[in-house]
Amino acid sequence: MKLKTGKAETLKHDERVWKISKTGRLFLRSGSLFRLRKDVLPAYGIMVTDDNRRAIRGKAEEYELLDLKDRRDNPATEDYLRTDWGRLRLEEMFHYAGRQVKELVKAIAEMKKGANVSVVEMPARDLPASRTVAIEMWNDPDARDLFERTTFHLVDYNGSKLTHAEKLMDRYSTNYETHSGMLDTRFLSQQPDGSIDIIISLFHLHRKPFPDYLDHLHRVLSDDGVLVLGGWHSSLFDHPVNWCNFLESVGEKSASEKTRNLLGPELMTPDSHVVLDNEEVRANKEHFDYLKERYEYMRGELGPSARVPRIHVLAAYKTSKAQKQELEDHGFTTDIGDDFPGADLIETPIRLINGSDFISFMLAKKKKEQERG
Amino acid sequence: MALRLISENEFEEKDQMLQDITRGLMMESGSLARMCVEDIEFWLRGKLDDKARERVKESSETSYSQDYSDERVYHTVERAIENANLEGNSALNNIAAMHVVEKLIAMNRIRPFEEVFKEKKKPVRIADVGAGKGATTLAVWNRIRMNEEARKLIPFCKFYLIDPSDEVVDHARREAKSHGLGLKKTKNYKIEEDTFRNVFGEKEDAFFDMVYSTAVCHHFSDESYLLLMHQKLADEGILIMADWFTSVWGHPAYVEPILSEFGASTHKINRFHSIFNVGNANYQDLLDKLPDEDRRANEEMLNFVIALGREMDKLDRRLRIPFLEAHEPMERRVEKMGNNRLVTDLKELQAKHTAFVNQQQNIVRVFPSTTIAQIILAANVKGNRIHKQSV
Repeated sequence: MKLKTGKAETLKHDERVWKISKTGRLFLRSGSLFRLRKDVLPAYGIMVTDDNRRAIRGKAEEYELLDLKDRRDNPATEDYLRTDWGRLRLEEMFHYAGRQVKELVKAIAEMKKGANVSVVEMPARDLPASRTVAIEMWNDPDARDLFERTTFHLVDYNGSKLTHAEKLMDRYSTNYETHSGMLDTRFLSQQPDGSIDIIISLFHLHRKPFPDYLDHLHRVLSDDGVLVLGGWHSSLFDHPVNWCNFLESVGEKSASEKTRNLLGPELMTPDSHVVLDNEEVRANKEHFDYLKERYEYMRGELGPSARVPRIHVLAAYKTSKAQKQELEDHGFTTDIGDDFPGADLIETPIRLINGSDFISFMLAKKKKEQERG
Repeated sequence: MALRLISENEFEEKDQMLQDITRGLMMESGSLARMCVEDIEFWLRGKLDDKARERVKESSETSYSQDYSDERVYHTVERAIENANLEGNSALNNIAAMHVVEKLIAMNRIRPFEEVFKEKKKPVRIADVGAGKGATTLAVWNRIRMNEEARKLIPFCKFYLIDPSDEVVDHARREAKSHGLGLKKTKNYKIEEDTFRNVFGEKEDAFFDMVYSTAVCHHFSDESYLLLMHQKLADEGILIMADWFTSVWGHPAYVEPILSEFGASTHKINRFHSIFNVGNANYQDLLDKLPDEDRRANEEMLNFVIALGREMDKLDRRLRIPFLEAHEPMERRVEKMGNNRLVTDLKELQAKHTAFVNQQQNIVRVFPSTTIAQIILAANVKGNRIHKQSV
């Protein structure tokens, strides 16, 4: 199949794909192909060129904003995606982030000798990891005095979530500012170069199909600044056959058939060159099983005639190895232990589930000039 | 003046009156037996006789065992925590885990676990009482994972996750199986699906080297559980108890705003007022007399209970849990621990327990400005053991 390269045909192709889910009233929809990582778009029939790049990026940003508005205006939507297992994973992630950021704050405060330490969290949500950092600092006699010198910036498009976050942060008499109704990219664009010491970004990078987002983070981080990342990893939707298999597994054969016909047999043939390790294979299975379980749950809760919420499944997920590589390609390194002597930091990436790549936690630092090569 | 004795009949009568008053409200009180014995005695202005006390113990256990039988209750409680702008058990789990791991490291430095394992052919036994879905032990394992020294201890440790609810224990099983430490079932952990009293009752004395619990002990009305913990802890066994502390159940005046919020009629509130001799006491006056941090704890607990009632109102009545619990002030818990041979005095611990020599604080507030969430580190010390008594 000839890949779409022109702007108009690219947009049309994408529209045809996502409309299948919309008109089919699926409980979980594909959403736009432009939410996928740009390097997997060829598998879906699109080649990113100078002609269509801007349109793809523009649409990706538009859809991201639509999603944010939708979740802000329909908070119950998120309940459909929540599981107890997921909640425990979030809790775990916060514990990791809290502990590690506390250690970083101590180390950076020592290095900065009296100057303020700035910690940005985006998106902060209603239960920010920052409050876990504050709990850790409060419960560490060596860190408690650092509250005065630490400023947390909580950034979230959803103002009501930040209102809740404020009430939790108020416990600690710590310095914090909330940036409500603000997109992360806007917040970053307003920050001077090298002005932020720590950026916490959890369960967020899968919303960024263009890896140059990391360049924005790189710019604003100080030379000893650290990126604290955690999230879901999967390569499930690196190939459209998995989306079709998912649809068939939940009984949506018609939608699967339409997608297969649209993309054609050539694109639907899995790429035999892709090699995944066991943990990555298991991550894909867990991702698949999670979506299937949620689909069945929503079907049970909503029934055939209910209004279906806008929940889109395709996103820029990647394996943790690929994430690490992407960080390195954009001037970061995950090998940071030696840069903070005395700080009790773990070696990352660290996979939270035994035998699976599905969720991992990472610390990344700007590479020194000589390392960038 | 000696306190009058409260008979089993009187207790039952007053208990029934309370339950009649709260029947049909957003949340019902549940049995008086859910509260601490000391608070029941204050409410009833006397001292429970032996039969009444035994009755309280039985009723309390029956009542609490029914509370979390359905997943929806957990979610309801979580929403209430969020609506009341509180931190939930996650914070307690996290900081309790921090202390657990610190103490395991301290114990190992004194006598390496590997050495103990080789000599006694048994692992270091650690109990999570009221493990639920395993969140506290998960937090412990994650802390261990983050610490190189602690990771080396895992082959010589065995965690016992104890909870009577089969539904939640299933979650704990899944978590243990998938945890990144690669723990081995039966070697590194065991899930005990039973009540803590039954599990502990079956073990020989001094079985456990460490016991921890998070947000569980406020479900025990009767302090005999502390004696059981003392007996089943080794000679220098360590107890780490994280819990929610408040004095709201200590005076019936605190319950009046709850009744009002939950839709009780003026008649019912007046009846409550009369039965439990509230007199001129007013909850706001009681709050105002407290130190700031204790006042904040009580306000937060009241806010939480009211938020919980509003969430429970959305739930099928059969699933709703009662609002009375055995929360108490930290000072009273510490006193009871002392009465049951668990050492809580810091100086005594520093002097007599090798793992506490450098301990700076053994009663820790998890959050600033409030006493609502605290962690008590206690221990058995040599020569302090009570020999077996029936509990």
